[in-house]
Amino acid sequence: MTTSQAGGDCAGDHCVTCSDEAVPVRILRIGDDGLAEVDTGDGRVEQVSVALVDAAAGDTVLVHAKEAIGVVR
Amino acid sequence: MRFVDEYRDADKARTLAASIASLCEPGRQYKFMEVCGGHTHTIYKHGIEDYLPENISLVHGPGCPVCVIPMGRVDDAIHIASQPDVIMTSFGDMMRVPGGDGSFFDAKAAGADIRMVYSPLDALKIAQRNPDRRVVFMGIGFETTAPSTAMTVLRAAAQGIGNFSVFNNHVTILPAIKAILDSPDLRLDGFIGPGHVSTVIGCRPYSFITGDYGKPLVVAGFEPLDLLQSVHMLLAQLAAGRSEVENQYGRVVPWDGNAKALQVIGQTMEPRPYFEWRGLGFISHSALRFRDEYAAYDAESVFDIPGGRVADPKACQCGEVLKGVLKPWECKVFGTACTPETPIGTCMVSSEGACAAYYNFGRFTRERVKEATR
Repeated sequence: MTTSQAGGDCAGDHCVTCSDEAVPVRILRIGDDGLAEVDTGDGRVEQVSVALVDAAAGDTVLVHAKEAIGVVR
Repeated sequence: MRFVDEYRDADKARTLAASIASLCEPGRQYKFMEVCGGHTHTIYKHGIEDYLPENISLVHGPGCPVCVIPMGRVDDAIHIASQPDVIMTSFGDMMRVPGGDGSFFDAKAAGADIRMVYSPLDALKIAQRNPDRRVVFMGIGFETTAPSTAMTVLRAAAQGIGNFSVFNNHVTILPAIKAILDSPDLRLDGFIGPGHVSTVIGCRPYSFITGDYGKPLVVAGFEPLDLLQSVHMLLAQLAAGRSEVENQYGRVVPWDGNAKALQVIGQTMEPRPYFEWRGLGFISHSALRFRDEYAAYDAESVFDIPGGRVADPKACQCGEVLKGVLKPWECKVFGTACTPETPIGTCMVSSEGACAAYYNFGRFTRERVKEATR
C-alpha cells in the first residue's frame, strides 16, 4: 500500500506485491458490501475489503493489496 | 507509532543480542534461512547481522514473488498486454521485471496500455469504468496475496463484470521450502518462517519441516526485535535439542490461519500440476490456477497465450541467491552489469529481492569487511 507513490516501483520502502512491512490500519466504518473505510495512520482514509476478517469499527487490521487478511491483537 | 516503535528499541535489541550470544555453542556454525523477502529487507535495512555473533549467518530464501517468476511468464503477460483492446494492470514491482523480450515498462513504452495498481480491486474498478476494453490483472504473490485476487474474482462474478480477467501466477511457499530442503547445496539449521503468509495458512502446515526434516521453524514478524527474538527462539530450540514450529508473531498470526481466506482461495483456485520457479526449476503443485468454473475470469482461457519457456541469462546467479547458496555480492554481475535501474536478475528488481535490498542499503558483509581491511 505504501510502495513509492511516485513511480510505483521498488524504490519505495517495501514491495507491494509482498507487502511484508506491517502497516496496520484502523477501521473507521464498514459498509454492506464487505468494504470498509480505514485510517492508514498518516491522515489518509482508504477503502479496503474486510470480507475475510471478523472485525468491527475501531479494530486494527493487517491489510494486504487492499484485502484485510488478519486482525492485529 | 503503535506496533512499530516498541519493536525497534535499541536497548532491548542489545539485551537480546547478548542473550543470543550466550546461547551459541562455542565453535559451532549456525545457518538460518529467512524464507520471506520482507525479512531480508528488514535484515539489511536495520543491520540485524551486526547484532549477531560471527558464527550465525542468515541466508535468504525464495519468498519474493517477483523474484521467482520465470521469464516465459513475463513474456506471456506482455503478449496479453499487447492485444489492441487490453488494459493490463499490475503491481508496480512487476513493471521492471525482465522477460526474454523486455519488461512491462518496455512494452508500455512501445505502446501497450499497462497501468500500475495497488490491488486487484483497483483493477476491477478500471474494468467497470472501461466496459469496451478487456482489463487483465497480473496476479502474482504467495498465499498473502491470493485471497485478494480470489475475492476480486468473486466480486467480479457477483457483479457480472465480464471484461475482467486475471493472469494467475500465484505460488505457494511450502513446495519451495521442500525443494530447498531436498537440495544438496545447502546445510541449514533452521528457518525464520514467513509472517504474513502464515496469517493466511497458519502455523500447522510447517510441521513437515520440523518433523520429517528435523529443522526448527519460528514464524516471525517484520520489525528488528521480531527477527532478533526469532533467532533467539531458534537457538533455544537447538540448545534444548527440540525441533518445533513456534510462533513469534502472535499479534498477527493465528495458529490456524485465516479460514475465510483459505476458503475463498480453495473456492476459486486449485494447485497446478507443476510450475516453473526462477532459479529453482519446475516444482510440482507449487502454484495456483483458476478452477474451471471461473474460466471466464482466467486470462489463460480468455486469451491465446504462447506459453514459451525462456532460459535465465547465463550471467545471472539468481538461482543460487534464491537458495541461499550465494550472498548477493558473490554474484558475478552484482552491482556492475546488474543494478536496480537495469536489473538482469529478478533479485535486483523488487525491494525485497536479496540483491536489491543489499544494493540499496549498501551493507558490507562481515566477510567483505574482513577482506577490505586485510
